[in-house]
Amino acid sequence: MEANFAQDIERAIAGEKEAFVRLIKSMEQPLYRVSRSILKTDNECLDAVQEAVMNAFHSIHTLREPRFFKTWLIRILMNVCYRMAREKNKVVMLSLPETAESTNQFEAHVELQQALKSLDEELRMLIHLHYFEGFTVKEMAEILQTAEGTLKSRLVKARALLAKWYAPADEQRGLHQR
Amino acid sequence: MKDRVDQKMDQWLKEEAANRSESIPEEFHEGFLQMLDSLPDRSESPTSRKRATTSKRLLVYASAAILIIGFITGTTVSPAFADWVKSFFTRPELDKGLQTAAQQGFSQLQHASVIEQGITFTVKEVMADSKRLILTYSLQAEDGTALDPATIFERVDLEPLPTPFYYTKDGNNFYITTDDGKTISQNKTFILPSGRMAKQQSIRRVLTHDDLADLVFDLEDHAPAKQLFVNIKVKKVNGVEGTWSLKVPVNLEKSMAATKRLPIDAAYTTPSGLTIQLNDITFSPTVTTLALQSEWTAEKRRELEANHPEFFHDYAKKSFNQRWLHYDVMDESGKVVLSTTLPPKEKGNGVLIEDHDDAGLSQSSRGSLSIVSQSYPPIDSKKKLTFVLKGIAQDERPNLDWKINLEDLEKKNATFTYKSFRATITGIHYGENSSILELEEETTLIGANIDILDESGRILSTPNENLLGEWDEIDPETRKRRLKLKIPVQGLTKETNSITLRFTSIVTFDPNVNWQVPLPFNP
Repeated sequence: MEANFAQDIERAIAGEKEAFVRLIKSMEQPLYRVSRSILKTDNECLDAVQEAVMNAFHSIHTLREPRFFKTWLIRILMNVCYRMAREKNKVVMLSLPETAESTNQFEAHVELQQALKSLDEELRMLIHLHYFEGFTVKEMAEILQTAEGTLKSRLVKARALLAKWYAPADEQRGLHQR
Repeated sequence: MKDRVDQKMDQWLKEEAANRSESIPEEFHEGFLQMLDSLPDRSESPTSRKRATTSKRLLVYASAAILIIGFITGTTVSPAFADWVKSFFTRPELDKGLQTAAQQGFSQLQHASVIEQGITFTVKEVMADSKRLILTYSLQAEDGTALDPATIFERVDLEPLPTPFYYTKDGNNFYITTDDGKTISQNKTFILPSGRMAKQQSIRRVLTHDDLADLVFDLEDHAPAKQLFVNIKVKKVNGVEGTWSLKVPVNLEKSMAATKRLPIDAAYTTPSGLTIQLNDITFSPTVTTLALQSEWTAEKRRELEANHPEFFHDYAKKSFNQRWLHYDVMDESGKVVLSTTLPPKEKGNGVLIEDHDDAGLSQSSRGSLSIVSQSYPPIDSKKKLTFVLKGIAQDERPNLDWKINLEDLEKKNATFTYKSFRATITGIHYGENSSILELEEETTLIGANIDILDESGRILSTPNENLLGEWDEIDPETRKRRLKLKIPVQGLTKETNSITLRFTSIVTFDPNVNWQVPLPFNP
């Protein structure tokens, strides 16, 4: 953890709003990407991030271990996203808007996105957190409140399923044994 | 070889992640910065959050109203009530099933208590049958004053629902075991509006009254058990840490003697290809429960897979299983004694109390199989009753586009129909940058999922904080309801020539069924 980042966490816990804002600004990318991996539209993501940040803002004084700030915030965000996804799934009257441009940007790696979509939500999230957000298995255990061993075996399962998804074109991609 | 594939995939994912260069959409970025700008000072209330959550509520109302049927309570019982009543469970705000069972003497008075840190936790009364268990408890401070019994839970208000929901917190735990030690309450996880994840064991509701609270539990099958135990492990009360541990016995012999599970095993396949099985009916003191299952035939499944491959590949699989069987149960005189669609306001006989998913499978492994048990207030097991299937509501994904020439709309309303679903644009109120689209839907249960596109195919923003909706109750005959929406559409102006409504999902109702089954009875 960078020194400035760590200091800002201490300050934010002590109640300094500016430090909290700096921390959140530095986490815009992961906040967007994590929410986008659960929710369908950018507007939903913004709603979720907004709610999660507000929750964090009002409860950061309860954070006892500053080093857990990132995992703590991501956990709050994921909880909000899952709740929103669940609510939307129950009563969906209207899709929230999104521009075609934003979809294209997110789908830059269309092929990988498709492969990830073939996974169950739980496995997809593991891959996302581990590879794209850089969380260690230990940190993921904290976020997901699940044993490290369980997460490791689920990661193996997720990779095996992805390998299977790519199997028909293995020659071209060089992912399988020659 | 397996390990090497895993290593290669691990390496490849790392490379892909390193090479990723996604930018954040401008709209998101702007909203994000705006949100940070509007963060209140520590002393202020979180106004921006309020706006965000309000926008979601309108969408939640309908589902929440459907989910809590049977608990339409909210009135406070007068302080004198507990003094003269024989049982806490005959209170009129509880559902008919609990009231009837308590009146018939199935409840058991208890005075089990535990004192810790000067605070007394007392269980006053319990009642259980094959499906449910209810318990009343109180909390008392050292000086004898009553503490709010709900203090051991986190309260969640879902406006406009009259009664709040409560979820366990601080590591407090309640669970049910049989006399041979088997746990029969199911661990469930809830994500609360605060972002906290609450894990609790099958507590369906917490209902406060006076200085007391009821805990209502859903139970898993415990057929051979003669006695249950409510295990209470409370770690924090009113901010005071300690261990309030109680194991309260609940004798089941009387209620199990009054419980009859009668097999039905009748099956029917609808003309549209859904096979329905009515497995059994259980008459218990607090509920009458029908166990049903349904699954698409292999032929229909192939057809669905060809037309809607998305059902079979992503999390849309959930929608594939989102169906609701509509039926009535009638007595010999043709009177409906229970029904899937009796309006909750009648809160009396025949209203669905609980719809339990019995499949016990993940979405991906269950295919199109749905297994449910649906419970109603107890009906007379000695009467001759008939199950009458009324139709099937199904969440479909037609992905249909409906293009509307706005000039034509000035002359007459435009109507779109898909199977039983009908949508009519009844008006547009133009604004400078955005307009209000008035849409009326004739639908079953819930409305359609719609995107609104402009002439260039761009999806227009429909900020739902300004979305207004009204809906009627479901008509018991047609199983349809009318839904009126006022949708704000950004970018829709007088200059717009046409828009397209893209229906990504629609709940349809198929009334083309013909199945009646005489239910078994105890002569």
